[in-house]
Amino acid sequence: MNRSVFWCIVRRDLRFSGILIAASLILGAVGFAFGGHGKIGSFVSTILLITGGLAPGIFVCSIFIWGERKEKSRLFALSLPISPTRYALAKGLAALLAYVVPWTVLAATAIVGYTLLSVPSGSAPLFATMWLFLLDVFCLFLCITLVSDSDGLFTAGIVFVNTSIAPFFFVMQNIPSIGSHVADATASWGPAAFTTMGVEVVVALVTFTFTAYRISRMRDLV
Amino acid sequence: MNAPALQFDGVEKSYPYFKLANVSFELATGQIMGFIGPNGAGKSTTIRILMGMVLPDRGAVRVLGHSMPQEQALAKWDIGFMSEEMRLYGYATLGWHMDFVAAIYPTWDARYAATLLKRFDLRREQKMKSMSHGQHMKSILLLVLARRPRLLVLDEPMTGLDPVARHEVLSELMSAVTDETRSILFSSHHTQDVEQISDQITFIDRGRIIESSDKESFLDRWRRLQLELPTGLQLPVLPGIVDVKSAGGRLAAVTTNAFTPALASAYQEAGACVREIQHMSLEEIFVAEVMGSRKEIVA
Amino acid sequence: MHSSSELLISQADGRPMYLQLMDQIRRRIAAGDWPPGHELPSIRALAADVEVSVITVKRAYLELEREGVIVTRQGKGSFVASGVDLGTELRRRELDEHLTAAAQLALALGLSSEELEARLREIRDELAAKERS
Repeated sequence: MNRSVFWCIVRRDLRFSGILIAASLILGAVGFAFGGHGKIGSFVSTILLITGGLAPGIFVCSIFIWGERKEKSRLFALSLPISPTRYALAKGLAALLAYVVPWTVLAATAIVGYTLLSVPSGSAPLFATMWLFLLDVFCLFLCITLVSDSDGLFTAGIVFVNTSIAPFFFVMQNIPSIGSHVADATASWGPAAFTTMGVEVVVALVTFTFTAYRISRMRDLV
Repeated sequence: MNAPALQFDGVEKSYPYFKLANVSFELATGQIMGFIGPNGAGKSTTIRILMGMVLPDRGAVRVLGHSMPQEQALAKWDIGFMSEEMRLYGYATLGWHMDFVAAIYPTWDARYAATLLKRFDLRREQKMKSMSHGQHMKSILLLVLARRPRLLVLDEPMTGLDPVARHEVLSELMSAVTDETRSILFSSHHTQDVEQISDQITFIDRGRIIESSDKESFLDRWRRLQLELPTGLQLPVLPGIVDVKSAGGRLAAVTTNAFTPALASAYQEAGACVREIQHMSLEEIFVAEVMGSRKEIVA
Repeated sequence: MHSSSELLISQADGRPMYLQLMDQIRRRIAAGDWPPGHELPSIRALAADVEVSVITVKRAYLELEREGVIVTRQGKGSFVASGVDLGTELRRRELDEHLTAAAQLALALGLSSEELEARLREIRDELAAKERS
């Protein structure tokens, strides 16, 4: 019986985030379309991909998790026959799905583009590291909104989301094996790229585990 | 129906500036409990602990036979909770919420829900964010009442409601307990409403339960005696006196929470004339109790 | 809002609710609306009807039974006691209550019995005059 309430909440959040999921896909698609059309095209493409690959997810967390707690709609949800832990898990799962589904679709599109559609794959390592970085930023933000009550931490999260991309990009572009070959027709996958991606995957997993652990230890929920 | 609807046993919870201490009380099945206390006394905290939303530091809580907060998911199938702070999802309509709740709870009564829509003067198609506070509260009450839950837990359900709406809600609450398997706990600042429909009154102040007893005997213990004294007479100090007010000169009003006819006789024997023995409304009792305890702290 | 039993509890009335309820029930019996043997509403039904707590109705019924005005049969409900001229008896009791209150007030005011009687006669005459006109 607990499970049906769980899925009602997940479904409800997903339905209401439909617009944001669509926005992510559209921005990503347009971003891909601009890719490879000279310097300006690449610039626009990058902006659109980063926005589409992160902003909707951040909105989902801000509205459906943080916003609902502030608005006390959380009290309504907690009056339903579900434990606070499973409620937090349901919210987390919905937000994660709302992010990961378009993220995966866009990643798959990129892979298809690079492998089957003969898109010059020089930019692939940069794209891959960037895409995983966006996932990490999202996971961290999701963790903050699910686990913390602190306005300060939430604001810090927003600031981090907004200011972390540029430095990351800067660093990545200046790693020769990643940044110097962006315009190449074929990708040069070096240890730098794989290490970075490895670290990013680990960060995502650690964030998940930490979030799940903190949720299970919640004592006061309102 | 012998098991109580809910039971608090030695519950404690500490916060930086507030402590809930040794909270113990019980609500029998089929009864209505009015939960009263000044602002900040701990009503909402107690109710949150009851609903499993806050984990107490010590003590046991049982609701409808379930231990809280461990079994809260099970218990909440039969509990209808409403709080004055609660909000429904702003961008959804009332109708969406009704469908959402109906899909979850098998006890949802669609006919009754439709009746309540009319009585509370609400519209299904209206978005929650466009509703006034009172309409929002009525909507939440509708969602809670239409399920006909075994236990209703209402934290300030009347706040923000106009007199007509309050009357409608009181009426629905009373018709709920014509079924003696159903119980209600509600907290309210409207002492009149509490006095009118409660079977039991639980009074909390500064994190402690001052009183938890049946309403009739509780109200019966309190009286205000209007005395007329010959000049210069010192009133004897008697047990159970909460307050003595001198109304200038020869008149005095004595408030007691342990009235017996012997008390009136004692005053008469001391030389005072008992002009009137007044019953007190719950509001007057509330004020006398809280002001009395605050004087003790200052003294 | 009219309750179906048309009993009303007023918050403005200073007396305890159970006394008001008892009063109203006695009046309906005295007026003949509820004849001897008539079944009273169940405690819960009356509570919901009048919008008063169950415990208050219980107390009212208990006190009325103690006074012999109603009879409760276990498992069957409460009924108006069968007795000749219950109406008059109740009326007489009501009169006694009023007279007691008047006598107490007269004492407090320091009136003698004769002064009280004289005042009572005055008031009766005034009432009679009003009725004639």
